[in-house]
Amino acid sequence: MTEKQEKIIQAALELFAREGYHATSTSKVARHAGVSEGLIFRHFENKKGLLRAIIRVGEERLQSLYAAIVLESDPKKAVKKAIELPFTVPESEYGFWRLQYKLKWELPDYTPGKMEPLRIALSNAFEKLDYASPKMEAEFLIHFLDGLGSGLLKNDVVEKEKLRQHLLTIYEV
Amino acid sequence: MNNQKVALVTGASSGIGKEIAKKLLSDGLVVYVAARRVEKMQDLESLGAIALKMDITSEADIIQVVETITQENNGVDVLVNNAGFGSYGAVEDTSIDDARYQFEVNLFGLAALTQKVLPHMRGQRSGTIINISSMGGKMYTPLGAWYHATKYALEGWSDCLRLELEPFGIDVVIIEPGIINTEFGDVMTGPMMERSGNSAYSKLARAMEKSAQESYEKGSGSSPTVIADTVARAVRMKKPRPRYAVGSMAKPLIFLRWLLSDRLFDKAVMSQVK
Repeated sequence: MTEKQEKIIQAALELFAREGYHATSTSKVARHAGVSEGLIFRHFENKKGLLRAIIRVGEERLQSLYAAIVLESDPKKAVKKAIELPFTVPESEYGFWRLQYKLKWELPDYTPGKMEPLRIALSNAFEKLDYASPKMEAEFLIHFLDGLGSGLLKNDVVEKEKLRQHLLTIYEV
Repeated sequence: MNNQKVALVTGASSGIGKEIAKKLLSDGLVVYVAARRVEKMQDLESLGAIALKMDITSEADIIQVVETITQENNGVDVLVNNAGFGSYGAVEDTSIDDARYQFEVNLFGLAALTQKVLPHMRGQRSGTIINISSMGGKMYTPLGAWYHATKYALEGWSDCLRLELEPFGIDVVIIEPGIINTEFGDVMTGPMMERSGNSAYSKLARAMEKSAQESYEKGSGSSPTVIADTVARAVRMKKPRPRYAVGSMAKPLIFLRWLLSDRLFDKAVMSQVK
């Protein structure tokens, strides 16, 4: 991605999240990014294309975060890495992720299938650890971590470190 | 003449091949097992298998094996191309002769054997060819250039073979095992360290050695029986799937590779060998 493309995406991310996707025009994004509106159309076709590009950036960051879990062959370590994932996101990135969470609701054809490798990997890990319903355990953990992620982003989790320790104890990892 | 299917399993002296042979025997097939180390197949012989000495890189051996089976049992109905190994080491450190040998075993030997069993299968308008590939046919690991080259090649080769043989009623099935508890890890790391353990790539080689040991020694891999069960199921099925990804890590890793961009996957894989 070129520097200008990144600028456009950053500007759009901020405006979409602050003022809403529908209320934000591409001309406003262009002004905010300091580029011509034509450049936005050239790179992203239209406003929807821009939204898709933003979501894609978030998905790619998320994928590179959870890839380490999928590549982990030791089941205990995999579960541990999964639990620790929301806690490892640095607070400096909270702004980015807050906007991503918000925008998830704006995209009509948002596809949760992007989490599938993590789902299979966790299910396999729970299977190796002899859990009775590995698939459901994976499902539960993923949704729990998703909720925990929102909580962390909203600064709603008061004792982060204690909670992390508590989770690791529950899962015996 | 009976109607028992006749199977030939290559690389049956250990690991996945041995388990496949056992499973097909218990399913009631006539099972020929072939490998260089014929003495390591005595256990299979006592279970009823017929062991033949075969070096997959020797055309004379291949011809001998197929002729024996043709004389004794008409021909091969189920061919399980299992013989193979992983030759690791940096591209710069691996001689082209070693690279060629990797291809001889994992692709050309397998291809030569397949050619020889096809006339019988075409003649009876049925047969099953099962190629044991690897999740390494769909994704890659550091210092595995020649290994992955053979497995990527086997994937494409098998896809084309499936198209060619479909009109003759012959099924071609690709199996992509994940991490399976076999000798694979040891066979892979020894030569890798010899080649790259003291070269410009030594740091990466040591990291790969550690990662392989962790994957293969802690029992986090799957039992070879999961592959054997899949093979047996594919043999029984009227219309087997073209591909099965089976065993620890296989499905999520193949999916991850498919989902991620090249750069992202590079980063993810390299983050594991630090």
